[in-house]
Amino acid sequence: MNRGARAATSLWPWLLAAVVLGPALLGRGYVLTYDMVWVPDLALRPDLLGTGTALPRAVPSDAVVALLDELVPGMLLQRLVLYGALVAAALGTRRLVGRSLPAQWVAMTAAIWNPFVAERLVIGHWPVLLGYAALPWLALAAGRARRTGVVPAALPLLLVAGSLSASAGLVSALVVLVFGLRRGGGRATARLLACVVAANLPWLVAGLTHASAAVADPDGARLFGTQPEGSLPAPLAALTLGGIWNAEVVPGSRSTWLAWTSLVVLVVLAVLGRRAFLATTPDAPRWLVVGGLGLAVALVGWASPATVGWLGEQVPGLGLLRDSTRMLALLVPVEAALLAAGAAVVVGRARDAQWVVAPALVVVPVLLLPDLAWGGFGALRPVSYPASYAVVRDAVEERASTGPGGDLLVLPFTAYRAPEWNGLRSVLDPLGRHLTPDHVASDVLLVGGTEVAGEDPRGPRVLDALALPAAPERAAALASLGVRFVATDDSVRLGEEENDLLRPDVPGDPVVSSGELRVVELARPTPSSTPVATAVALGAAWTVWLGWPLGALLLTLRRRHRARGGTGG
Amino acid sequence: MGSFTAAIAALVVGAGVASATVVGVVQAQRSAGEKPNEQVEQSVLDYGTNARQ
Repeated sequence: MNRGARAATSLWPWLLAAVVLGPALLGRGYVLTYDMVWVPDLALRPDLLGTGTALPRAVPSDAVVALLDELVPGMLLQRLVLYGALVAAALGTRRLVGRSLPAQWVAMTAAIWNPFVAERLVIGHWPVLLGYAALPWLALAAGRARRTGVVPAALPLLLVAGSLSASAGLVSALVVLVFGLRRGGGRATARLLACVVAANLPWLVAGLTHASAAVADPDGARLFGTQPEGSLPAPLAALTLGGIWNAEVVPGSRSTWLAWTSLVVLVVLAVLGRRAFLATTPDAPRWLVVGGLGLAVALVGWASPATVGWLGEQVPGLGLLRDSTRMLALLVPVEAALLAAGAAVVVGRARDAQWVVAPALVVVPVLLLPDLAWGGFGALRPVSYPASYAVVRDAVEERASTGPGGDLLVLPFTAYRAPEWNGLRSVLDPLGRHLTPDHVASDVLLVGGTEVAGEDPRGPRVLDALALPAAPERAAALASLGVRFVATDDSVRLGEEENDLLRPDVPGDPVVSSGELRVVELARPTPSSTPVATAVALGAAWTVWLGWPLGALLLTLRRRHRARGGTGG
Repeated sequence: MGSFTAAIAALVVGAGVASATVVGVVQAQRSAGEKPNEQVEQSVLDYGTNARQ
């Protein structure tokens, strides 16, 4: 490979990721879309560590962001995370396809430009994307551990990066175990298992301390299961890396015959490239196993949502599987490698026409999903928060620094908004994350008007308090639930009935009023306290989570230093 | 495969995929434009919707 070709190959994923993210990288502000809410400075609060009453869905990702945004501004950090995830996914997948240049280019393109990435970007599941990006690297590192008996120093750090949410942690753990375990593995196997557990400890322990509440609404499995896309039935949508439950984030091209064309292209290239895939992809059979598992989970979510719903209702924590297309992260590297292998075969047969055929194959994933370009045709454009957010944050932070403890309640008491200043795009309520106190949030989800019950036991009690007929009674009831501040967002347009239910008047000592936001402080809140056993368990979990990869890194550096000293180097 | 034939085949396949792209994008844009403005009717509180709801 000449120097120019090497440079171009290295630059390709950086360019492609920039074309995908487009305005998300260039504009000023934050990309706020569905579950992705970034704020200028996320305060490191106890509930981010898993002490709150809600299920630890954002453990440890929120805590990591809260720490990192002390070093890097939130706006820049969001861009780095999204861009870095796409580039890392491409570079990792490149390592799965051998030395063929066309194969490497096709693999990198397919790793970035696919429906899984498109849909998870728009729905804001950035920890899932980070987990997906880590998979090829984890597989290679775990494979090396299996063959040499030595766990690479990078593996614990990769696991931490790839396990910032429960579903990402499950996927990363599965890959490490499938690629890393061997019969009679002894100490290496034990170390691998320890790495996997350590990287997932925060959400595991936080989840165990919420076990009694961690049973999911069985209706959720039906609503969050794999869906068809246009005329493409759900199983084929999943096979082509789509099928997400939320039709609002599905690229429009997936409802056209481009989706069927992508299926045909996938099947043809996979058949043509199957032998090359087995010959060139490291641990190819293991990739087929994990890819097959990912597809199987997605299909169970479609075929039998009642089963998934029943499991989620009976077994704490299994509600995790209801958004089953998250597991397609396991299939993406397999299909990218198969496409790449097939492309290499086609290019090889084209001989003198390679100069036409190879570039055409590289851009095929782009042509089949053209509306991923430029932030999904504008779906990922950043916005600035209204000035009132900063004013309210400063005022609440100052008031909260003295006086009794207590949580923040944001009204209307719903999980999602569609602010006009965000272009009417749905987003998880950003106000609670913007402010500094621990936040009581509704985890009831509305899917097309159908309600999916939440798991937080405080949620129904808050609704009961808000339903009390007299305003002073509401304030007293909320205070008894540990609420100290009530922030009301009057910009959310609600019907009269919804308004009475979710945003009734709650009197208190005014703290601040700015724009359409106002905050009052309730009298005599009864702050909730975390049980000592929970605090100790979480403290230990976070210590191990932080200490394990650092310890592994230091040990490796010490070993290398000794080895160099031993050879006189 | 002769280089001339391969080049023609590549051009034909490429033109086919490109045409599918153009048609697909036009169809997608048309169907987005045909959707009624649901911003008034749709609840601002929804997390999302299924394809068949």
